[in-house]
Amino acid sequence: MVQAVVAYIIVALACAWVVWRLFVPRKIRTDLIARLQRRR
Amino acid sequence: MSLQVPEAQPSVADIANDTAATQRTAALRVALIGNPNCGKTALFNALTGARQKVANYAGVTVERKEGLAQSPSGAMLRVLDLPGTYSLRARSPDEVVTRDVALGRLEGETPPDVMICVADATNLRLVLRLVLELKQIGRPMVLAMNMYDIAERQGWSIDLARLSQELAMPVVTTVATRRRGMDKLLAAVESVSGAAHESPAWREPSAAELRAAHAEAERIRKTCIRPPSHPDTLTGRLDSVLLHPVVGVAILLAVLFFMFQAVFSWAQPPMDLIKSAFDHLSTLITQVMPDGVLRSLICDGIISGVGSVLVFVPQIMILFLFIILLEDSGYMARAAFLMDKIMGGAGLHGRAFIPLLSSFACAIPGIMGARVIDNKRDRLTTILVAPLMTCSARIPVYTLIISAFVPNRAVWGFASLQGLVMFGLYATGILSALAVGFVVRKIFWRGAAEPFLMELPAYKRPDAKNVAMGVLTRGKIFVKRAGTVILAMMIVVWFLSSVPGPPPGATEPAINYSFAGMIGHGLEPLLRPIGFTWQIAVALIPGMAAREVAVAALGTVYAVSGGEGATGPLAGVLHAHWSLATAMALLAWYVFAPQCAATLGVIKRETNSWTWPLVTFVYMLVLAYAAAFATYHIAQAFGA
Repeated sequence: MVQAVVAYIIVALACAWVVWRLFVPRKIRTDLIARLQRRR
Repeated sequence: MSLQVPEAQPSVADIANDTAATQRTAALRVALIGNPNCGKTALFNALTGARQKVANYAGVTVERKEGLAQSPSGAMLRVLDLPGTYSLRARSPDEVVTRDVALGRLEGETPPDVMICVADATNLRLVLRLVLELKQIGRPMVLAMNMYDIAERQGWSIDLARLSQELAMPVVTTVATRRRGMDKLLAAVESVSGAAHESPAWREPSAAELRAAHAEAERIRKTCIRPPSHPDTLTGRLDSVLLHPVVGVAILLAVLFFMFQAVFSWAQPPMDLIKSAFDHLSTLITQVMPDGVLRSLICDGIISGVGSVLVFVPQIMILFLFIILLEDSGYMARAAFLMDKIMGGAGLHGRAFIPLLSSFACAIPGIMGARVIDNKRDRLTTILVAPLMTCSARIPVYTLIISAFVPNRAVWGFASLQGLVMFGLYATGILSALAVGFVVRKIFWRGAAEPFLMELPAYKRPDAKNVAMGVLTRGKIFVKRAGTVILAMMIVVWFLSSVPGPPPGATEPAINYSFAGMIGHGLEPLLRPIGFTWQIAVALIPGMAAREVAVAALGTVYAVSGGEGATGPLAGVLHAHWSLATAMALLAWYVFAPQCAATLGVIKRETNSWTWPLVTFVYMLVLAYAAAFATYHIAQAFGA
């Protein structure tokens, strides 16, 4: 049960990362990261 | 159709380097301008600590790069590295960037506070005219005499004080690759930065003005520079052999042949080591963790997938060792010269050689490198054919299939058959690029060929640090991709290959009931005519993101499938499951297939239109299908 929960959290994170990296335009990603860094 | 020069977008690393917005506005803006191949990027790297690519031929830098440097007094400087140019009368898109930055015409850019004109101290004839032209802009300037150590060694005598007086600007000697003269250069920049200056409106000089500037440059050169009494004739003597129309071409082919032989034979021991390390890791995890979903994810998804790609790191590093050695020595420019006639015959511009050469690493810098071509149709033709050159992402696919199906035996007593097949695949890539170029330029866009002029650099001993850095950088890029895009995609592929699980009492492998199985079986009818199995169909989908992902996906799919012949090295598994005809068809597919989303994205950016990425995707897909179909059926006819 614990194995399955951990595995599917990893799968969800990987899916989110693939969408972010491959489907979000580069300009939007760069602007978002820059904005986050400025806020920090 | 419109082609635009995109504005260079700062990367995340660039943003991180710019520590504060206030610093950006306070820092002096310094632009590096000079003839092609005089060492501007090497100087930029030395000043800023960056690691931009440098090589011993013209046209390596095609866009504006920016970095921060600190002067000895502690002041911050924003240094701009610009593409090389012989004049401000810009013709090609890369020269337009240099002219516009120098003149402050680039949107959102203020003009530089100081211009460092970079000169190759062994080749000052053309740069002096550029210096005189840049002086017309009226901004403070410093002349950096780069590669001064080579000039001294060759016996050039340069009266620096007189030159400084004649040009009315500080002259500083530098050796960028050794970081010599950087403090003096930055101090000189600071000293002139406060000087009063006027900025008259620049206009393109007339022919008479150009002649006058050339005569003045010649006068200064004769006054301040004395050539060596015993000129170095090594370059001339080497070129008489290496540029010979028959011997030169034979040597070029021999060099390439040796390179691919070495890629196969030298890489084997480290590849075996990496392979056994992953096998041990998998065994260890199987022993330590109880059977379950997480263990399957780690062993079948991550280790099988990512591990099957990482074993190719040694081959990629060895290939780039050769490419960088050839670039740094100055031989690549000779290869461009030798290829010019063949490329011209195929309708490609001579300057297309450099972008196409860059495409051996990756089509993206190759497509961007096409900015050195001023004619729009020639540039677009180069962009369309660049993805056909064999990029490093194809190496894992080619190597995997070759090592699975081509016996590792010697032919003609000295050459490895596997290396020979690899050489053949590279040759097919080059020939297909020439053929497509021919069709586009001679049939669709007829026009007269333009002459190709390129300065041949002097031969140099490759700089060990630059070579090591270049090889490590390529290795790091590959490992980073394996640890990010490929890792994430393999987790997704594992999920699709494992869910939903098999129904109770199922007799077939679990993957047949999964989403991946459904997708693979759905696509199978389309791919069956070219001999592809449903497992290949599953691997081709994530492989659209990047070619090497398909190798990792095959590793994961066969690991999840389990069953007889599905264990052990992936090459062995494929040998057990595929016919030779299928393997050859997949090789033919990968020579042409448009399996790289980033390449299509960069074509869109460079052409500012969706038409050209679509054209590229369709023509490459049609060629890939046709080539795989023909290969599969011919191979079957021969009993493969």
